[in-house]
Amino acid sequence: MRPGCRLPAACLLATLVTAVPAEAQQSTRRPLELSGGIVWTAPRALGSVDANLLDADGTPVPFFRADIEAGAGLGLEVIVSQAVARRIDVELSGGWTRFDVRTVIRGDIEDVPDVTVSEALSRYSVEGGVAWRFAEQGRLAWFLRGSAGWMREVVGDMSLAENGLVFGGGLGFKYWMARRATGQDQFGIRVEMRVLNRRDGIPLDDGGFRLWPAAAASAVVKF
Amino acid sequence: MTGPRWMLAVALVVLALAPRVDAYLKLGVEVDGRIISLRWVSFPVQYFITDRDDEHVSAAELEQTVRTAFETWTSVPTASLSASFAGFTSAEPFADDGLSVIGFQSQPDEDRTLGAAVFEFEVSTGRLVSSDIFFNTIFDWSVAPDGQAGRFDLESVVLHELGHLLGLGHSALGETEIVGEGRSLVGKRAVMFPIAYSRGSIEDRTLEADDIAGLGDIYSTSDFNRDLGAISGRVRLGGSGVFGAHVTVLNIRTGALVSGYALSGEGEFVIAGLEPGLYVVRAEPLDDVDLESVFDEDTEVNVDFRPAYHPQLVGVPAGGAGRRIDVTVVAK
Repeated sequence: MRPGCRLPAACLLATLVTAVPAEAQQSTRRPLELSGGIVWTAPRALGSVDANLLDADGTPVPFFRADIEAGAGLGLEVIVSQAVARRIDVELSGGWTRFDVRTVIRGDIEDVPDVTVSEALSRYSVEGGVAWRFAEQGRLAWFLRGSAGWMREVVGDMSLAENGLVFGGGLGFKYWMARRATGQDQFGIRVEMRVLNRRDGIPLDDGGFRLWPAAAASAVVKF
Repeated sequence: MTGPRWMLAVALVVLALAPRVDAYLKLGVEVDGRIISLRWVSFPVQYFITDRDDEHVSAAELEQTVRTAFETWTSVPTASLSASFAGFTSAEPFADDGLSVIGFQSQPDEDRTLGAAVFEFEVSTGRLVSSDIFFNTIFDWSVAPDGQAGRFDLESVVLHELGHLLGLGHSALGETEIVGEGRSLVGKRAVMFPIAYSRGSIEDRTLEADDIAGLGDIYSTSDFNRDLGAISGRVRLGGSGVFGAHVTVLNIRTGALVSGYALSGEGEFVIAGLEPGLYVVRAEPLDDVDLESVFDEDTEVNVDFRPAYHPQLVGVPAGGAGRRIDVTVVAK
């Protein structure tokens, strides 16, 4: 909605009228973008497991307790983005993230001091997504993105690997640092804040709904 | 209170070899340097019930209780076995008759033994031929659905003894305290733990993950081999193996606890029947049960070390085992 518009119908008409010539001025070929960069996932508590014995009444007798968390993760990703409408891009991404799954053992029944046991875990993913560039001002383009895809999680020593699904949503921007002589954006950066949700994969928690905050930064080239 | 113990007796009728526990929960015998697991190979396992009533429980009630307990074991989805009641008999448990007989007997000399099982098996193959079980009538028994104060729950003890009949040894997945000359049960997580719950309790009517893993390991189905995995490794103390160390693993998602023993001079252990996932591994000395309830009396078991955790989570894949691990412990 444009500032100053009071009648929605009139504003919509104005948008359409101004949009058509603008798009027509650009090439009929929709640009393809290639991004490559790093992904960071925030530490995430994954719940606790009580290793309990039972007494004669069925009352739990704590054997020890395990508090589980995923440590901060770091990885790489590549995104291929194709504009399919003036403000809509479809994206295909592939990524790898590595993080530690840590379990803090507390309250051992035989007074073993608290100890942290851990294992590295890698997550490989291939996702499809849609990005909506909802605001573009000069070199800056803000976007919202949603994605879903397949993932494979692998324990660090490769002893265990499980497939699953990964879903994501994000808010980010692209900042174009260079333009071609034609005026088309050529090279820039892409920064995005995300939340991820995983299904299946290596059993790390009680299976409840959990969001994993994440951030990504990459260089982007438009072809 | 100090709980009575189940006594595990093994009759060696073919060749007098000292029986011992193989793997973690399985009964076995050493033949030519190899450990052979004891197991039934012909099904259904046919059993008789001695036609003698207890003061509080009739032979018919015992038959129904044994039937229920067998159903509990045979309903384990990852194990393939069956059993059937062959009829009442005047034969006594522990008689050398080639029959599997279950019944009440008075054994006043065994005043800390609720029940016991004996076996007849082929030494060369480990094939079980027959197994007898007695329940000691010097104790007061109950078959009340919700248990009965002051009496031991028969179904719980039958379930334990049938575990032996099927080839399971004692699990050490529990915690006890020394009280006087006996042990007081603090808690446990296996029907096959050698010390019973106190009178009135019916908690041992339900199999735990430890029991289920052990049975599946003996009578494994294709599902067991395909869908479940194992952890293997060694328990080490100062560079040497720790024979008899008790190893417990925890699935960090389900909380399931399964345990086993280090059974070689190198301290090697294998714990099978585990759901795929990540596991915490803990090793401790075998000091919560009497050693003779697990090993031969003349077996030297090292209990002079502190419990410890493996510093890494261990991945268990379906249908196999992850990397072998070394769990390092330190002396007390």
